[in-house]
Amino acid sequence: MRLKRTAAMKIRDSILIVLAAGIAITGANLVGFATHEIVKIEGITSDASSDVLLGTANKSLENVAIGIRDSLDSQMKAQYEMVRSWAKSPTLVNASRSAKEKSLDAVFEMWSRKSGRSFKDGIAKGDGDPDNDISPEASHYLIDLSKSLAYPEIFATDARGFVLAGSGATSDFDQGAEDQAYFEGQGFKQFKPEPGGEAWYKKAFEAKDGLFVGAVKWDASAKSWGIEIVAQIRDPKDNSYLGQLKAVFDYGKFISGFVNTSNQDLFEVKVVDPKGTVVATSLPNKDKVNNKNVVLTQAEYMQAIQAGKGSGFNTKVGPDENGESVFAGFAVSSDVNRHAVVITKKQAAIAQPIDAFVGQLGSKIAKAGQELRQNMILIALATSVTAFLLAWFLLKSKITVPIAKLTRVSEKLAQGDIDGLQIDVSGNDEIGKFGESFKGVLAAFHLLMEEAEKSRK
Amino acid sequence: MGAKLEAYFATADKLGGMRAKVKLAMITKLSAKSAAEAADSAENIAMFEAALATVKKEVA
Repeated sequence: MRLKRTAAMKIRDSILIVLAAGIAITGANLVGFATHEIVKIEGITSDASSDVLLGTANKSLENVAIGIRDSLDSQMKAQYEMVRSWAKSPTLVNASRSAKEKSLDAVFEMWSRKSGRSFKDGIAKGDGDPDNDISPEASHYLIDLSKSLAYPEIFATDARGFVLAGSGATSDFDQGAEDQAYFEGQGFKQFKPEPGGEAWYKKAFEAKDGLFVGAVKWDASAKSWGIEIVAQIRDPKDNSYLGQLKAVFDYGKFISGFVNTSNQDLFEVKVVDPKGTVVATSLPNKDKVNNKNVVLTQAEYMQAIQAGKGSGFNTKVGPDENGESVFAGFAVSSDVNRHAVVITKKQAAIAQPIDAFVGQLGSKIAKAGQELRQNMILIALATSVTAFLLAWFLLKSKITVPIAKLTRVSEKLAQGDIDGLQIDVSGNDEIGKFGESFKGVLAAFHLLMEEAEKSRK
Repeated sequence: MGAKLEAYFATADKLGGMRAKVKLAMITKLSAKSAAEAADSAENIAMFEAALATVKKEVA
C-alpha cells in the first residue's frame, strides 16, 4: 500500500518536475532572449546615435563653411563696389575729362617729356613720381587709396587708354585700343601690344555694367594673389565714356587675414582654388599655400567641388595634406574665382564628445536594461511559482486525490474487504470515467456478495 | 423505498440468471440491496429500464 501511494506521488511529482523544468526553461529563454535583444538595442542605439551625431557635426562644418563663404562673397562684392565708387570720384572724372580734351600727341608729349621716363625696347616706362604724371592730383588720390587699402596698384586711363595717373610707376603708357598703331607710328617697331588693347581693358570697356573683375592671378614676384578690378570712368553729366580705373586687389593678403580664426574647435580654415591649390590657410605654417606639389585633387571635398557641388562635407575621415585625420566641410564661392572655403576639424575633436555622449547613452541603456532583466527575472519567478502552484493544485484535485481514492478501493477489493465500500470519484475526464466504471464493478461485487449471502442462508 | 428498482433484478434473473443480474448491477452501478435502499424515482426507474433493455439484448 505504501509503495502504491509513493508511485502515485511520483506521477504527480514527475509531472510537476517536468512542468517546473518547462517553466524554468521558458523563463530562462525569455530572459536570455530579452537580454540579447537589449544588447542589440544598445548596439543599434549607439551606432545610430554615433552616425546621427557625426552627420550633425559634419553638417555643422558645412554650415560654418557656408557662413564664411557668404561673408567672403559679401566682402568681395564690397570691394568691387568700392572700386566703382572710386571711379566716380570728381578727381578722377576731372582728370579724365581734361585728358579727353587733349590730342593724342599732346598727351603723349606730356607723359614722355618728364625726366626719368624712358622708352626702351619699345616700352614706355614711368618714373613713379606722381608729380610727373599727367594728373598729379589724381595720382596722389590713388596713392592714398593704395596705401590705406589692400591695393598695391591702382591707375586710371583716359578714354583712349593712356595712363593719366597711378599709385606707382607704370611700365606701359597705353592700355587701350590705339596702343599698337600709335607706338608703331612713333617708330617703336618691336613693341607688340595686345590688338585692341589689354585684355582687361577690352573687357571692362565692353562690360554692360561698367565693371570687370579678373581671375585671381599669382604674382610670383610679390608672392601673392591679385585680382584686377576695373571700373569705367564716366562723365556724370552725360554718362559719356571717359576712361577706366584699374585696381589690383591684394587678394592674398585679404584672404590670409580672412581665414584667420579664433575658433579653437576648428583645425583649419582654408581657401582652395577650383584646381585644388591652397590659396590661403589659417595654419601658421604657410608651406602648403600656392605649393605646386600640394594639389588636393584626392580630397573627398575636392572631388565633390569638381563635380559641381556647391557645398557639403566629407563622409569619411581622412588624412589631409598636413597628415591630420580630419573631417571637412566646404562651400564654393559664387564669386568669379569660384574659390572654395574649406573647414576642417580634427577627428578627435569631433569624435571625443560624440563618444562621450554615446558612452553616457550606452550606460543609461545598460542600466535600464539591467533593471529590465531583473524585473523580467522577478516576473518569470513569480509567474513560475504561480503556474507551479496552480498546476500542483489542479494535479492534486484532478489526479492525485481521485487516483488515491481508486487505489484505496482497489486495494480493499483485492483483499475482499468490500462491505460498505463506496467510490466517490466522478466527472467527465478520464479518471472520472474510470471511477464511474469502477462503481459498476463494485456494484457487481456487492451483488455477488449479496447472492452469496443469500445462498449461505 | 426501492421495491420497484429491486424488482428489475428479479426480472434480470428471469432473463439470464446471475450473469444478467451482474450486468444490470454493473450498468446501474447498484447492487440489488442498494437498489432496494434507493428511491423509486422516475429518474432511477428510467435508468433501470434502459439498463434492462441492454441486458435483454446481451442475453438474447
